[in-house]
Formats: sequence, C-alpha cells, structure tokens
Amino acid sequence: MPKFSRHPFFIFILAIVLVIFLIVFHLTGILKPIENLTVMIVSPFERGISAVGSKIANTFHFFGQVKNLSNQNKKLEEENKKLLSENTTLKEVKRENQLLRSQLDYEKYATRKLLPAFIIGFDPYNLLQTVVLNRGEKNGVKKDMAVSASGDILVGQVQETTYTTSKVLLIIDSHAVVPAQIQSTRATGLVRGEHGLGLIMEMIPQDEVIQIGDLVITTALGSKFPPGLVIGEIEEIITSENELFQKARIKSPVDFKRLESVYVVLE
Amino acid sequence: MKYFLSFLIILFAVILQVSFLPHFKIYNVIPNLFLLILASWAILRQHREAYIWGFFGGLFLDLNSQILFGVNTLSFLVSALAIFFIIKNFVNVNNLVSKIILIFLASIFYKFVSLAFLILAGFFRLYSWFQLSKNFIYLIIIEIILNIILIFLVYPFIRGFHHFILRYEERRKV
Repeated sequence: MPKFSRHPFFIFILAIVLVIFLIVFHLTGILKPIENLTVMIVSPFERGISAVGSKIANTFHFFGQVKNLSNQNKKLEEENKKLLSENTTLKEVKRENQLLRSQLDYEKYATRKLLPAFIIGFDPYNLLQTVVLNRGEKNGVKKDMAVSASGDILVGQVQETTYTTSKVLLIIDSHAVVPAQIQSTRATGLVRGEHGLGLIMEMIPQDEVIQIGDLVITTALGSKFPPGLVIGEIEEIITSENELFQKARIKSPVDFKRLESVYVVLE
Repeated sequence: MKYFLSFLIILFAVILQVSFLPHFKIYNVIPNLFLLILASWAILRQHREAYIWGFFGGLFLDLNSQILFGVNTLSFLVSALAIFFIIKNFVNVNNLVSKIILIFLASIFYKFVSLAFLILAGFFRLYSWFQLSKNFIYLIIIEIILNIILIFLVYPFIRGFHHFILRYEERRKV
C-alpha cells in the first residue's frame, strides 16, 4: 500500500496549501525580492522571443496588406499634405504663443519626460488587456504613471512594478477608466475600454454639442493622467433623449494589436 | 536531469504564451498553450508530475499576469485534477477524438474555474460578469477551437519528451 505522502491527492492538497501561502506572502510583499529576481532572469528571454514573434507577425501582416498598399499610400500622401499645412500654421501659433507668454511672464509649459520601453509580454488571460514593459523601478517607473505611444497618444497606465519590469493596463481594457474632455468644446466625460474591442466616452452632459471627428484628450480634473494626451477621435455618437448623458465611440490612432514600443510618461 | 529539463520546458512554454503567441492573436484570442502541455503530460505521465508542472507553470504565468496573483496557479492545479478525473472515468485517451474531447472539456473547465476564482476574489464583479458573458462565450469558443488545433503540434512534442525521459529513466535503472 503506498504511503499517504505519495498519494496523488496529497500532492494536490500540498500544492494548494503552498499556493495559498504564496498568495499571502505576495500580498504582504515578502515575495517581492524573489519575484524581482525571477523577472530579472526571465525578461531578457521574453524580450528576445517577443521581438522574433513581432517580426514574424509583421511579415505576415505585410503580405496580407500588399493589395491595399497603393490605396493606403494615396490616403497617407493626402493626409501628409494636410498635416504639413496644419503644422506650418501651428508652428506660427506656437511662436506667437511663446512670445505672448514671455510678454505676460506666464508660467512655462512643463515638458514631458518620456522613457522609451519595449513590450516584452502580454497577459496570458484572454479577458484582460495588459502588457509587460522592459522598464521598472530602476528606471524610475512608478505605479499610476501614464504610458503613451509616439509621445502624446495615451495607451495605458502602470499598475504594478518590479525592479526591471512593469505591468501596464491598456485603456481598451474594461477595467480602465480615463477622465477625458473633448478638445474643441471642453465637454468632459469618462473614457472606458470595451473588453479590448474599442473605447467608449460616457457621462457627456446632454446639453453639450459633440461632433464626429472631435478630438478627445485627457484632462487634469480628478485624474492621475497628465492633461493633454490624445485618446482618440469621436467616430460615432450614441445618444438617446431619455438618458441623462450622451455616449460616443472613440477611435484611437493606435493599433493596439501591433503595439511594440511605448513611452512611460515620467513627469 | 529529468526535473531540470521539465523546468526548462515549463519556462519556455510560459515565455511562448506571454511573449510569442500574443503576436498571432486570432479575433483577439490566443490559445492556452500551457493547458495543452499540462493535458498532454497528464495523458502520458502520473498525477504527481502534472500537479508539479501546473504549480510551476501557473506561478510563472502569475508573475506575468495582471490578474490576481495565484489565480493561474490555482486554476491549473484544479484543472489538472479535473483532467485526471475525466481521463479515469470518461475518456479513453488512446484515440484522436478522445483527445479532442479532453481538450474541449479541459479548456471550458479551466476558463470557468479561473473566472470563479476571479469573481470570488472580487476582481470581476458579478454584474460586470453578466455584461461580459456574451464576450466571454465568444472568447471561449475561439479559444477552444485554437486549443484543439494546437494540440496536434503540442502532443507529439510532449510525447517525444516523455519517451526521452523514459529512456533516461531506464538507463538509470540499468
């Protein structure tokens, strides 16, 4: 007769008890040094494998898109011309703004300090939209810092850090809530993720006039996010007269499926 | 040697799951590679080893996951127990259809167990789970299909590793 200690069910119970202890140690922070060490050893491999995966996926994506390249190129050329003209006007406005600010002795704009980071991992649980970055506490990353793409487009917020890595909740996750405002009208609301499928802006007062194409940005009001980060533009207005607030579907300029590198907004 | 190689395979599988497979998401879903490895190991080896694999694999996944620490480990351990129960009582795993049925049941079981742990821990509130349910069912259907496709790659690999371990154990006995 086998000893009880060799019984499969004994191993199962032992493992469950061990996990419960580990959960308690994790919550109290006792495990933090071991977790840091493990992540420090594993993360370079994760980065390497993620880079290989990304290259292979991009190659497939490229071949899948070859048919549309000509159309896309035309669209981009037109958009480029439009942006070039907008950029010239904005440069002029910026120069005037700086001049007026200096004349009024107005407080200077704080420039954002950005830390570039690579995505080295994704959440294995399909219901959550989170990523792991190769930057952590040693690089100055702290909980609640905003994470952006191309410097100014909000993609998420740091939720947890280890010494060398950090976990970021993407704004498309259903747990993410971002206080936001419409740039043109200053109407405020809350942007929520739709289970990884898109973004919805809620709680927009009924008396505010909103239009398709309006830019939605972060606001400093009651928010942990730096103000002025682009969230996206309104692509559909979902409004009903019976409701107290309006809703709008937001289109982010970021393709979250192909996100490879981001910036952590340090200040 | 046996444990060291097993440890390396677990680690490699976890890295593939969190860093490689997400680049190939289909309808925003990735297959549960580690569950497939666990199920293959459970078919070929003993209870004890599958629990150990589930324990370490779950821990590594928990380190990479934003969901509550321990949920992946507990879910894999309970799933390993369920897989053995299914193998022992319902499914004869010697043919292909049985393996597909096993993966189908294990995938559903794993998802519901982990979701139950998350709701119990307050991570998903019950009302948001109801909001989620339509999305969840769609997610689980795609995940099951992907898992069933991937088992045809994973099982032969794990069987090869199992034979290698067997040869190694026989040499040691001699």
